[in-house]
Amino acid sequence: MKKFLAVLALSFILSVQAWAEVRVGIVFDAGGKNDRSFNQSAWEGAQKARDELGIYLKDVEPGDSSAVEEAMRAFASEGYDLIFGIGFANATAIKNVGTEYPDVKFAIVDSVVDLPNVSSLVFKEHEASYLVGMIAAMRSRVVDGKRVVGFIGGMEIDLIKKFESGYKAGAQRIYPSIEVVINYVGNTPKAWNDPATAKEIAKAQMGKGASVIYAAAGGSGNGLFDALKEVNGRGPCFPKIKKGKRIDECIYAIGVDSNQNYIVPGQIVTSMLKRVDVAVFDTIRRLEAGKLTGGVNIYGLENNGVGYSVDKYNRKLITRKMEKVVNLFRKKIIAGDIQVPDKR
Amino acid sequence: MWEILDLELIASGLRLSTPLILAALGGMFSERAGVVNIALDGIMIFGAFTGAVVAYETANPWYGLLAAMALGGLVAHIHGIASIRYQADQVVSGTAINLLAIGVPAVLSNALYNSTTVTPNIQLMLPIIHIPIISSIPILGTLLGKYSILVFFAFAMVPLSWFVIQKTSFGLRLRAVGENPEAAETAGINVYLMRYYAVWISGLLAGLGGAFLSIAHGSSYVNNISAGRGFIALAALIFGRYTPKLTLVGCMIFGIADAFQIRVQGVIPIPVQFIQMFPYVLTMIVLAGLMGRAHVPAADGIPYAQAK
Amino acid sequence: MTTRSITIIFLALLLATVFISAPHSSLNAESASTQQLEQITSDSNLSNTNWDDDTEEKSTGKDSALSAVNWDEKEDMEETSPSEKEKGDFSGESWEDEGSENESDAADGLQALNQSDIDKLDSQERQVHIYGFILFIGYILGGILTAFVTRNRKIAVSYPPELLILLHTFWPLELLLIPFGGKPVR
Repeated sequence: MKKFLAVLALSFILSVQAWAEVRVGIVFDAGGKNDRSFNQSAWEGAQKARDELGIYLKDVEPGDSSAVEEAMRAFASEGYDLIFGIGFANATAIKNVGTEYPDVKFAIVDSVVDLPNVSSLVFKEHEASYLVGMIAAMRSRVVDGKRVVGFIGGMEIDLIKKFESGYKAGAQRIYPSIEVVINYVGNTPKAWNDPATAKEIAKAQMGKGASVIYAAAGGSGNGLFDALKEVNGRGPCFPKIKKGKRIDECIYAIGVDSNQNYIVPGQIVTSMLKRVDVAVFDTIRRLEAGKLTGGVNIYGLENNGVGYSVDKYNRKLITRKMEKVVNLFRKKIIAGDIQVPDKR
Repeated sequence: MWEILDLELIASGLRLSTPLILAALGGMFSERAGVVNIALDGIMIFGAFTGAVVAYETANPWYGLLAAMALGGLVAHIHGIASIRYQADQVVSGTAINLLAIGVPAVLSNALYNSTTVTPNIQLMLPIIHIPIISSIPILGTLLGKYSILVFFAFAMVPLSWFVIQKTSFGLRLRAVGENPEAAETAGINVYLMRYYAVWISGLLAGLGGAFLSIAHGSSYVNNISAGRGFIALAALIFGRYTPKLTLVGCMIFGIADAFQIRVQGVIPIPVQFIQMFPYVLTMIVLAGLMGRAHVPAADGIPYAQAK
Repeated sequence: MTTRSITIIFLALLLATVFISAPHSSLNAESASTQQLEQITSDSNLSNTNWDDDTEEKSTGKDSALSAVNWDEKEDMEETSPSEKEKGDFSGESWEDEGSENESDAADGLQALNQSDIDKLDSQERQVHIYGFILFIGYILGGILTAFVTRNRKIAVSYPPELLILLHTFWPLELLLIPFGGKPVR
């Protein structure tokens, strides 16, 4: 009898805790939540929400795409309050499960699902990629008579073409004749997690003279950083000035989604920040406050939804002059004076 | 477009073919002794995972390499036990290993590092060797001067394997067991033991091939890091008629095609997706077209029941 | 999952997030602009701009140190090199100053100071690699030798081959067993 009461009491306590808490489920995409990039940003936002808002958080890293819908359905049927789908690849699953469970709230990152219970979080990556392209061009140097910067995309899809077009436009704004080498890692979701191929691509681009390479490929970007370490060797790469001319010897990279400057300190010029963490946190906060509605939320330069990072690791690689010009253009983009292309 | 056909392409191709060479040579030992080993891909994944985890935990990539090799051997040994002692269908047993390789590393890495898709970056990768004099010679330098140590090891394994298979009594017994195990038995060779050796060696080599991907070429293990390379290695092995030299050629074809595919993107106006198909299509053409009459070891794939 | 395990994981993750540094500086700070910058419009040609700052940037001692290990003087770094303090006097990023007296000296001096640090780390690495390589080759050769030595002994012959392979994988164990393995059979 005592045992029974104890079990009853325990389960009551545990379930009360469950009732009291807001429960949020997250389903990541192929990169996994530790890709140091896109998914990790989402994960950090969710963790912050858990720390600060006290929600109950559960995440699933799907082994392959068929597991995504099942995971979401499981969350929905267990009565979770909000379910995130991270990445455009999860949009179909959100749509299917969202129609099945109209009382559960959903959120999708990088896609638009037109249902009243789904919040679509989209970003203006092309705008920040424009700024980052400018920075790349400013940091680039002439190799064998050519000025080249590189771009490594994950899959060749509309989303990544936004990064590509913005980057190219920004670079060409500084040097109209700059060459932008564009490669894609693959055309299956595996491309978001294939650093070996990205490393070879980076090396190929360096062979073509690229002095700054921007990887918009999620977890595969780590291959770019591997290539950097191999080529640049140890240590930070600050350009030196000899007799008034700047001497660079290193190849630089530009990170993406999260602040990746720390990964290879001193060799990463900046990271294009896609504040998925802010979007996720914001959404959860609104859920907590009871103000979460469906619809599209656009995160761009104007609300700091995208940007570029400057921290102690790259402070020296971005001179004040560079920063001033970039900020100037940032204002112009926000004001609408400059239209950044988001397709080829 | 022709400017991409430079020596860097070949260097890149050699790098990309290294895991293939190691896995294919391993497959060769196994197949020559009569045990079909399609678990090469799965063993590569296990090797890559073990290598990355041990290299990270001990901060020494060489311990990782040894662990990867040993574990590769052990995983193959499981396949061997199923195929040899219990005379299971060798394809099924190999597939079982491949399936395990999809799930087990994810579970283990989740338990260890709370991530089902990547392990932490290792602190030190296997060294890149710059051969001092050769690397300053213009042409030879690009081609030979600077590779990860495992690349040199893999290429050294080719003549070494040839020597072992063709010129040592161990190799002779191995081949005998693959061609005619009954006759070998009557000659006093322990067929089971030889086959076990062969499968074990294939595991050692495939494990090394996988370790290349995670501690020499890359710096961590990511989900499905082998990307089907084990199967490509098998195809290269069949293309090479189970001999080391031609297998090397097969692996290099795929490696260089892969390197070519990376460089040619954007240079010619063919959609990226078609370009990325190129190495695989090439492998299929080579297998279907140039193959024809490969001499498969006569007893390959047939479980041997020891005479009582 | 019990509440306790959730708490533990939460704490672990919290700990992990502490180590992920992501400070983002405010991008809106604007110091006095130079004439050049005031004239930049959306259409102006920027190709010929020299992006290096030619204003005197007085870097404080804190962020002037350039060695790979000294990113933040406040935080504890595991690999603090003894020569760190010497680098403290390296104020004045040579490339941020157009001041001529610092230029070539600073650049060369910078090289030299970093070099010793780099060399030390390089030689440590090289040691690891050499020992590792010897260990690796030694393990393979040792395995082959052990297999050779035990091929006729009782261990090899009377025990099942599966066990033998296991032993070969961990051949040091096998070597320990040789005294008990008995005399050569056959």
